[in-house]
Amino acid sequence: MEKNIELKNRLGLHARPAALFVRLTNQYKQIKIKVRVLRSEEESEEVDGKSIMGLMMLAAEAGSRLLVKISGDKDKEEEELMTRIEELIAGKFGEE
Amino acid sequence: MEKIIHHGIAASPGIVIGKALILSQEDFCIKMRKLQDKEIEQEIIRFQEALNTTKQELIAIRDKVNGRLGTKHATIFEAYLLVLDDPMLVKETIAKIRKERMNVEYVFSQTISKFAHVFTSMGDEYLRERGRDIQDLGKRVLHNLLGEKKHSLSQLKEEVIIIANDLTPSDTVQMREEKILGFITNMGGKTSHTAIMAQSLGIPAIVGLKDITAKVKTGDEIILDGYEGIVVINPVRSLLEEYEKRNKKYIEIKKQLHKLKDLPAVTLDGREVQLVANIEIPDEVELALESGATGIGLFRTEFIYLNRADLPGEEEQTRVYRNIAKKIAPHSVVLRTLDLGGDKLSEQLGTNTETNPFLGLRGIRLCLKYQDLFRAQLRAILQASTSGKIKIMYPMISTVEEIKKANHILDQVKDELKKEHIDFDKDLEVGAMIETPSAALTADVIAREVDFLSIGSNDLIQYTIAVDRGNENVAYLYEPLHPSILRQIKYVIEAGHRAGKLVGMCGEMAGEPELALILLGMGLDEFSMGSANIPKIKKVIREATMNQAKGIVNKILDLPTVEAIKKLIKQTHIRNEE
Repeated sequence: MEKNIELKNRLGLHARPAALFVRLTNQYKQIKIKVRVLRSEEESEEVDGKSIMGLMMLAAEAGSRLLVKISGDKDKEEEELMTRIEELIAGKFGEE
Repeated sequence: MEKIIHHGIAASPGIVIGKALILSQEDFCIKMRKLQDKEIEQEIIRFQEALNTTKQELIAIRDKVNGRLGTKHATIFEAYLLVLDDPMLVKETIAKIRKERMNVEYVFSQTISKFAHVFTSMGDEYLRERGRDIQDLGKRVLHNLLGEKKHSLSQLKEEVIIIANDLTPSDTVQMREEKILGFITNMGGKTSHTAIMAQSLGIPAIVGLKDITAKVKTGDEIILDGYEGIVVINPVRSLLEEYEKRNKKYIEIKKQLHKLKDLPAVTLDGREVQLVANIEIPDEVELALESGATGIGLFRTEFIYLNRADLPGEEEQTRVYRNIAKKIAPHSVVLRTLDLGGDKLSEQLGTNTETNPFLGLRGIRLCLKYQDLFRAQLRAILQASTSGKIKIMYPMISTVEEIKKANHILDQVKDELKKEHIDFDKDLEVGAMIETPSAALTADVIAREVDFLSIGSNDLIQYTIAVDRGNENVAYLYEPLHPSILRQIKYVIEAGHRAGKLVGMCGEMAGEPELALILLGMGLDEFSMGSANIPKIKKVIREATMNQAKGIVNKILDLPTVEAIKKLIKQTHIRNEE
């Protein structure tokens, strides 16, 4: 399952948002998650969505689009995680 | 013979003699070692143990910071903790130990450097900084692997003098209650964050010694003279005795001064002034009260905004302000609204670097441009104002229009709160900082728009004489006694008084015992300074008369040069000592 989500918070994937992201994904031990930034000029590297360093290395700024790929063998859990990721990003990681 | 006396910048006064403890930050000597098959699993366990120990250390620091500075400051440690669990770091290191059959120290330090390098070579300054964080984190883990315990400042058994390249905010947070006699650093200047912290915590300190960490060994006996900025390594007996004698004298003077704590700052002929404290973090309120401060004349609110990637919310700010107002009650606290250059908030506001930040977007100018930021702060201050006596002060005023605009926004915010039925102090006083020549020379106009004036002497001197005192080529020009400064101060005080307003001063000048008589004679109502100076200024004031002080002012205003003024002050001083 994959989704294309726009980063709306002001800071992009800085330490705090990345930490929140990882704390969420790490709750789903059985699920694999990959993230990369969609940039027109080049294909960015795909990183482990459970790695805070990986996420920060994406250097995803506000307004950029993330391609989130989730794979596992329990569809329900995958959907749940995807929804929660979307909520986290749409809620701007709790920033004001 | 090795040179044993070193000169640095005296950052915080006091003499201490004690054993040196070097907080090492230098790189480790990592040895490469090929593993035998049976050693591999043991090596991985060692790695996991080191990670766990490091996590425990970080949790302890996080909890401490949490209690001291609030959750927002602690979140960075949360991120560190996640890095220690990061699959890229942990799995990759373990896989490499297995594959390359090399010892964990070697493999791990390579992995860390690789990741740190990715970050430090990024274009974004924020991410580059995170590269340094990763390196630091790696060092912590290596310390634990190598069994070289990183000295936690909270586990010291005996009293020591800390010697370090530089001290991080998390180090200084831990300093207070520990057995630390003083600190000495390679880096830093007189107004660096650590210097200011040391002063307010009353710990003697010398900074800017360049390579002192290479000159001293842990366990060396050290004399730290924070008055003169002198460090003596393994002193000879005679020198030691001399310093012990000198120290005794200082302690005696301190004791005498402490007796003044609860007495008013009143001259022999009955003129009373207020001696209040400048503070940087809420923790300093206790020290201020202990020194006999009758209020806080300047709370720099910047600490709430710095060292973070986002902006502080209204609630967080309200809590901080409320806390201070409660602690200092029934005295008042002056909250200076955000006084930063745009460069310091580039991350949060998207501001650009300026070619001349000192003359750029800073203080009230920044607040009037980014009004959401300003409104949030004003809302927080107003809400906290029910918990004690709070006053607001606008920094970096250069025209009266800025005050009118700021006051207009303040009125709007008050209306908002009224509509929301949120209570605030209706009589909250508002003041202007006078720290530019343009404000000083129009102080009469400005005084009509505010309840009080406060002279920010540090910036007033820099802007008047056009000198950056951090620039060692021209720092000699920085001179509080320059006739242009004295004339402006006198004018501001008179203009304030003509409008029926109180006038204070919150620069370093206000805490200089030699200058106290001059400011007293000019009619200054409130002296705001680092807590440590309060007893000294009080002593000067309690031994003076207004007649004498006014006499000195009359004389020095006629003098043409700084040199002549200094000479006169010295004579007066000697006469007083006799």
